Amino acid sequence: MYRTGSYKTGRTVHIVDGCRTPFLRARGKPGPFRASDLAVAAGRALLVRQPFQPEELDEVVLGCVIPGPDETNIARLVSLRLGCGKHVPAWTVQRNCGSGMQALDTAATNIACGRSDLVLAGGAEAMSRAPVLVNEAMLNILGEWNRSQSIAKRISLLARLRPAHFRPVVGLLHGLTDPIVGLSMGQTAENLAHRFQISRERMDAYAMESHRRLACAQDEKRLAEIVAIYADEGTFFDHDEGVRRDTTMSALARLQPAFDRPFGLITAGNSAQVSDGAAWMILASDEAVEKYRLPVLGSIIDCAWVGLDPGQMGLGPVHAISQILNRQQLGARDIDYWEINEAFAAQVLACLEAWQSSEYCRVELGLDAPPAAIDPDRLNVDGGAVAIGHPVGTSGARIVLHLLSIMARNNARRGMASLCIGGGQGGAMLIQRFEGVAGGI
Amino acid sequence: MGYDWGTLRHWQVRQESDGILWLSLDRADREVNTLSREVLNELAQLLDGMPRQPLPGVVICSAKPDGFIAGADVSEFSALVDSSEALKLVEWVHAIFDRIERLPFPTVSVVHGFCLGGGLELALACSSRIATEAPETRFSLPEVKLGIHPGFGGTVRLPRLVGLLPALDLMLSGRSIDARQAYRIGLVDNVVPERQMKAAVRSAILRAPSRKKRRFLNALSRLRLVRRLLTCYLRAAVAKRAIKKHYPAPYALLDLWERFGGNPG
Repeated sequence: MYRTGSYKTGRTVHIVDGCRTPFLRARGKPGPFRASDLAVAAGRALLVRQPFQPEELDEVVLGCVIPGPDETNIARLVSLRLGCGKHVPAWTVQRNCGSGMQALDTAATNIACGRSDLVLAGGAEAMSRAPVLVNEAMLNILGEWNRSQSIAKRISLLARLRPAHFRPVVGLLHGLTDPIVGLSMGQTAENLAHRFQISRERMDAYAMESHRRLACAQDEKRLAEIVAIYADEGTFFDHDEGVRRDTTMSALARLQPAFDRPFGLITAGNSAQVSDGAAWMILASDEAVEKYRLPVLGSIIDCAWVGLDPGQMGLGPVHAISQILNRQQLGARDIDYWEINEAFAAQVLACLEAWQSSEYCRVELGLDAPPAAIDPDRLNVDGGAVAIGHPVGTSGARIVLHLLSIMARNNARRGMASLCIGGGQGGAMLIQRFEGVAGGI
Repeated sequence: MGYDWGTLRHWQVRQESDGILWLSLDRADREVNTLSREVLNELAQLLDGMPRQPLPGVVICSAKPDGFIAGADVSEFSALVDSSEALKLVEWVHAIFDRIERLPFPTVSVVHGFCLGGGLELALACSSRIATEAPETRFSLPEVKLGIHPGFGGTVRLPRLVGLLPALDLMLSGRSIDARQAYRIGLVDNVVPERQMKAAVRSAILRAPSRKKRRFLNALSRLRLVRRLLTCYLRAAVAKRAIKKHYPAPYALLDLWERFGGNPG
């Protein structure tokens, strides 16, 4: 019934349910939830409404880029806390910003090849809790301290301490810097802005629109995939905190460049926000759908991963999308709705420019002519990471989840979700649903 | 463009929509830019053709991918038969560089890759300097290594810009520094990645950089006695590394400075 693509030698992969936490803004100190807390909160709400028991899952796959020090193989911790029991295997996948989508791809592949029938897959990230590390000079002193026997030796060690020893290594900043090309993610976006001559005004206008769309989606209750979560002290969170309803072009224009000081164009205002959040989907084979009478919301048709210059990593979606369209023999017009993760406003705009540039399409994609344009009114229709936030390991799952809800709302057939990945990669996922099938997430 | 520059072999001239005039050196006959007589002649020609109505600013840069200007064309030096001819050459170049310095609008040199000797002295005649942060970007005045010392105004302009000791350090050792170090001593006003070059140029032209007042020592060195004491010390430092009989250039440089200090007259 479905044309199946890279999974075509295998079984159909159905999406049967999904949900996510609201995305919480990082406020410069550890947020109220660890990544595993977020994943458990969303997972609990999701599993409680299923007709099967958590123990009946075949596996749990979770994407996470920077789990806390007490969260090694965070997927297993979460799986056990969700009551999946000791017999359900769980593992963590990491492909930087693509981790959440990688978890879906991994789950889908295992279903397609017959290893699994029912999988819980998603992403979780608490960026506000990214580890802050003790530097190497200090570790050397601590090592000697532990080995030293005499008081005199310890006093001499203390005398060697300098302010530099107390300088922390901020994990998040290192995580968002490409060690190969020595550029921060923001600087790779500056590269794209320079290459495609994207002005500060265009980026800021794009950011404004992202906030406007999210605010509108919140007002019209179009974010039904969000489940409220509760912190220990009783506070609760039920919406994405990143939205700025009162932002204006002049307020955005006043922001200083965040990466290339003092001449850059990329600011905190036209970049994705640093935030905490988790998202899940439940994927199932035909057999599982039949066995538990699960609702089929849509199917995962294809997924592509590509590599490109790390200094131009923001163009990853162009390559990944192009690969899927080519493999599926589809044109851009066959796609009803698009999600391209907004790592940076400039980066999404650069993707759209590259997509329509005959030179880029010829040289980099090997196409004779640019494909049909991506309609901005069908791209990130309910806002993107600039307004919602970008918990790196989660976003890949969020965009697929929300794309499906947009498609259901509009009774659409095909949707493409894509993101750029730090280190010079891109990922894209094609999903499809039956027209006329009622219901969504 | 509307201006008459005459025929140019080595310089490309373009005026952007913001009015800024870009002069990029691209020596026709060489892989590397050097300041040959012909190149300098054309530069003088360009200065003659500068429009009367004020420009927002002028940029001097290189069209060669791997460097700015490697210095004077040393091969031409061997054709100089006596010191009076050398003096004539030097005075002619001084006049050209002085005209650049006196232009009534901001002048910016944009440096990527090597910026050596006469190339650096040309950059010093501009009102500001911007360097790309590439590791290939290097600044030096290596003249002493050839047995001469900077002669296109560097001995005066460099101390004025970066202060006495860093300037003498560069000139006496001939060593090269990278863009960050050049920024730290105040030789360049900005170090930017290639992608921000245009923005940096615009900013340098729109608000001409505030010249940092150069330290106490510069003021003090106007006193002859102070200069004498300092040169004594520096001569001793140089003597540890170069024998005067074989390497007269650094000593000549110190003599020059002891006599005139930072006074170009």
